[in-house]
Amino acid sequence: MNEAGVALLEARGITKIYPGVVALDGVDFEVNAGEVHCLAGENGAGKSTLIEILGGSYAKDAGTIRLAGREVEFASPRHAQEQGIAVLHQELPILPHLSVAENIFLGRQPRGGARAISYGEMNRQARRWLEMIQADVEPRALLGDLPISRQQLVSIAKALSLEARVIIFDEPSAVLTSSELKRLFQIIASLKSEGRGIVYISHRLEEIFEIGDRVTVLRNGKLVGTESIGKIDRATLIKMLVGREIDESEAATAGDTATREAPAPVLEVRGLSRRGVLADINLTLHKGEILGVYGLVGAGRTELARALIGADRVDAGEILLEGRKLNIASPRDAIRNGLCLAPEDRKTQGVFLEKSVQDNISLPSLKSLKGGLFLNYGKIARYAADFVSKLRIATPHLQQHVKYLSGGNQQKVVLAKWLGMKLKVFIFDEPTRGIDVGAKEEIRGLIKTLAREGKSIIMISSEIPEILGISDRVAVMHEGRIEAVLPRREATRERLMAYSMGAKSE
Amino acid sequence: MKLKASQVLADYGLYFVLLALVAISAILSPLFFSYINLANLLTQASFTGLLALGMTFVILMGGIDLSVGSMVGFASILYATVLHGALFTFMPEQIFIYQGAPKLTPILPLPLDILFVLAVGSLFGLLSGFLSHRFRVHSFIITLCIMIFTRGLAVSYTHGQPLFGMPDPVSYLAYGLPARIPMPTIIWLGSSLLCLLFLRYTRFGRGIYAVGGGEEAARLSGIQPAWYRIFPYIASGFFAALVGIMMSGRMGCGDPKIGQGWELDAIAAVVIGGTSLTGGKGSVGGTAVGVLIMGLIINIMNLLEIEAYPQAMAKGIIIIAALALHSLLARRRKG
Repeated sequence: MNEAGVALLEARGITKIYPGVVALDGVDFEVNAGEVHCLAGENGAGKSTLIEILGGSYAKDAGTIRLAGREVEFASPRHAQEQGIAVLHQELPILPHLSVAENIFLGRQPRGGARAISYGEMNRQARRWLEMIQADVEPRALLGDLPISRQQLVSIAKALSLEARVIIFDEPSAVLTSSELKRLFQIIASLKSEGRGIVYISHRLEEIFEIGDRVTVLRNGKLVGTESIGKIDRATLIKMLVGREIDESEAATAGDTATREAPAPVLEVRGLSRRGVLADINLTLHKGEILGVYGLVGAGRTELARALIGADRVDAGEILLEGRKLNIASPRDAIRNGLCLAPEDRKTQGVFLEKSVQDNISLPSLKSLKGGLFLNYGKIARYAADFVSKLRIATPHLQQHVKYLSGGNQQKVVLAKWLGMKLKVFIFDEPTRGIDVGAKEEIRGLIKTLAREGKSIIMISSEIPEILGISDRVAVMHEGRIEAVLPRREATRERLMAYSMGAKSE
Repeated sequence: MKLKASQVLADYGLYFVLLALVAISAILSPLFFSYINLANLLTQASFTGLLALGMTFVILMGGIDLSVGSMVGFASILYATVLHGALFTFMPEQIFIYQGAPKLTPILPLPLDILFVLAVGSLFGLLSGFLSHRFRVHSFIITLCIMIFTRGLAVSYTHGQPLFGMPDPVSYLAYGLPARIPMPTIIWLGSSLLCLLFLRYTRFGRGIYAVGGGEEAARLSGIQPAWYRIFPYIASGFFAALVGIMMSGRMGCGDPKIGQGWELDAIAAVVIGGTSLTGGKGSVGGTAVGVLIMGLIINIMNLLEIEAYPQAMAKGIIIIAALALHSLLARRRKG
């Protein structure tokens, strides 16, 4: 399988320089046939830049890439694909209006007579590749109609159809539930046994230890090191990742000590329903309480959050705030009444990427930042600067566009947006998804501080340790229903999993 | 996959609207099904139809082409000028020919004249597409400039006067009736069929959908977007020039002022036909139906002898109603 010690893909001294920033500084990376090589590092460490270069999207400024010992230059993604390298991007670039089969064969659709595309043949071939990974996906379905996990399977089928020898997975776990991830791991294992080289990018240590053979860590564009998984432990890896030691157990125990006995309910939800999505949701949220909401993707967690703030219409049910019935028809009504949401899709719904840090933070509070009739920009700048320092948002200046901040800092901007308003209920939908270990801790810390200040919090997360670490109570959702609400001391990993998969009885 | 009534309505709603309009027209006016009326309706629709066909490519790419109306006028003038062999004299005064003058024999063979004008139309399209692609400026503004420029060029070149003296074969393009079917309709439907096959059965055609639906996704799939982004404007310029030539034949002259506002009819027809303004979604068939729906609305109002200005008001309202219906049906499909 392995051609006498020659790596399948070998990158040496890869350097990429942007104006003012060295994104990659002489990084070495290699993948052998039949190996899963994990790539880890905090956001901004250079992982994405590296895989974009390996995938032919970006040009490198220095270094060499060898495929099975032969030096190659990738001029475009297509060129890299032809050489057998497929990249499965985290935010899967899909063409929602085209069929599954067409997304797989785009630009190389099978042709029949008169060089016309043969749809029958294309669907047949697509079905064959999908069956190879046991994906139950109809080739003729529109890709945009499928859930993201199915879309991921389609991308894998596409990589297979390209006869890819090296397949690069860019943080697939960020969009998959744990059961879907298990499936993916099985598929990766079989790809590996076929002698393909796998590059797997992840923030999650468990995954790295579960499927990796080796791990390479990048920090600030530099190579920290490459280690065999068998030879290192979690603590070593964490130290490599962040460059300092973090006590992991802190996250898991902090919530324990603070089982506050909650007084009067702040938010009450009664019989909230939305046809096909939410069924008879009943919830109570107290002052200063963090209610964790756990569930698999598709269980209706995000839909619940959206229904609570009036982003989606509901068919039945009522929402009471401090005993008063609310009439929420839009997010504006929700904000007026003291509810806000930090959405799951941070980049498109949480912040304005093309706007400055200052604009983002001040936007919801502009009303209070006027001097007379007009906006007072001095006031606005002070207001924003205040939050930047309070939340320790790492930005060179207030006018920096938010798109240039790391994921963790973007999430802090989302928080800052709402903190300045007199709100009572904060809903966080996957606030730590896709951000690095250190920033995750900071975000969780901020959420806890909020609760200590008497705000009520609903925190949606797919990570069980995170939920258990932060929540006072945990609600578990399954198929649009709340299966159980457990106090912190009764909530265990096993019970959350069981309820989330629909196991009603104890 | 079960076939649900609501889904059928959403997918084929447009065709039901068309059928309903035909039925209403037939009830409102006994003249509707007369040969003359139908031939007239189809001829009118054909000109909008050809412009809308080019526009479909552009809108599929997420762009818009405002220059087609002006291009009709410019092509019409250019064509008349070329026929007179006077392109490079820059003295159109010398070739003004009064109405009723004897018809000219073109100096070049006629097909070459036609090809020349089509090529110039395509070149202007290429220019729009290239500028919009190269400088990443939305085509709305680029084609607005091209629209102003070409109209100005056409009007100033002829001092706003029409150029008369079209030879017979040109009139045939506009008035011919092979097998009792108007020639413009044959050209329109033939072109539509070709474009439909092109968009559905060639890789380039599918690439237009792909790049229009998500340029980055297409790029990562190994498609180089540049030509896909430029080509639609070439197609649009080509069809606008074709309409210009046909209009010259229809009027017996080159008219620099013809085609004003036609780009808006073409855009409306494409959108009624279900092509998404954000790109990547739509079809030539839908556009053809959209054109017929627009044509029918005008036709029935003509038959009912409604005057021009109330007609314009009704047109605006009906287009919005059609779009609202479309959006409602599409939402039902999702829900």
